[in-house]
Amino acid sequence: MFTNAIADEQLVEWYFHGNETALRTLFERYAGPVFNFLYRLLGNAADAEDVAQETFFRAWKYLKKFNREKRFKPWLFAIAKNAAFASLARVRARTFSDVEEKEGSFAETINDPAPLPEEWFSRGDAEREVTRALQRISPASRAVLVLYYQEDLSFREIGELLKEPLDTVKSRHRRALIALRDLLVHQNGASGDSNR
Amino acid sequence: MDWESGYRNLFSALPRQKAPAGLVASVMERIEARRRRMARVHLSLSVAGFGASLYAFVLAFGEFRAEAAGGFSQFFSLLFSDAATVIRYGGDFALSLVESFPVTGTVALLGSVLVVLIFFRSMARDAGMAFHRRSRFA
Repeated sequence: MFTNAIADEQLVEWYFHGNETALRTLFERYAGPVFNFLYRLLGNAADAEDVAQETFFRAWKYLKKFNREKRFKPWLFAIAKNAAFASLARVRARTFSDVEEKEGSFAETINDPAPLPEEWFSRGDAEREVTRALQRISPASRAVLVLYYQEDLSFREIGELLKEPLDTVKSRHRRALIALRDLLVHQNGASGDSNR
Repeated sequence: MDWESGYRNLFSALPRQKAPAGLVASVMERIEARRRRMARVHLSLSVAGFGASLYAFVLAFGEFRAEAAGGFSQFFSLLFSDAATVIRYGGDFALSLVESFPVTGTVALLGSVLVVLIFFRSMARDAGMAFHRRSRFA
């Protein structure tokens, strides 16, 4: 197996020159991040595993179409996103929070009385609450949050991945944070008594 | 922006899910299975192509023989039956040999041999991929 010091694009190049181990190394490198992204998007490990398999298979199938002048990671996550959305489309339509559809004014709210998200980590069930709240916002907004905060993709890369303009992605990001905060507060209010 | 750093901390602290063991191995097996399936399809086409090229070779050989029988084979046999005369009239003999050379038949024959060899090579490669059991990703 090759070390992490070797760039993704170099591994792709080596694969095209007949080095099969390079492909395996590339997939091993992204197995965790892709699975994590899909888990956050789909909400359960079983679906995330199925879609992750499909993602890597499609990545192999369409590798010849990968533009080697661009980064491999956003291209791979675009495939993951498409596979996840196709999987979600097969599931019965869910009702997502409509809070993110309202015109957000989060940037104008300077004195925000709601608790800052970092306070949630003093709670024992913070991860579960955030995961629940994430599942109640739209998949596209979920994707923006996970890709931006956990996978360190830029808004521009996320826009290319989602095929949305940069400003739309930024607006979606802000509205998603507003929606997430409102859901966490609502969940906190609904279940807060049980935690005392 | 303070509010963003709070959310950044929130997501950074969310535990990252680990991929199930064997995920990549399953993907590689699926890729190998697809390659074997594709190789079997190519093998079928290669076998059909090989058969057709063999038939073309037989036809081309027949054409070559028919064309050579016109005069070339008689001149050529003189090299062995009457070498002294050939040497005496070397220039004229060479000219006659060249004039009677079965160009079309030779081109067709060599061309068909080349196609037979190409399809044979393709068949051998596809057979190796179609029935190879050990994973190339190991």
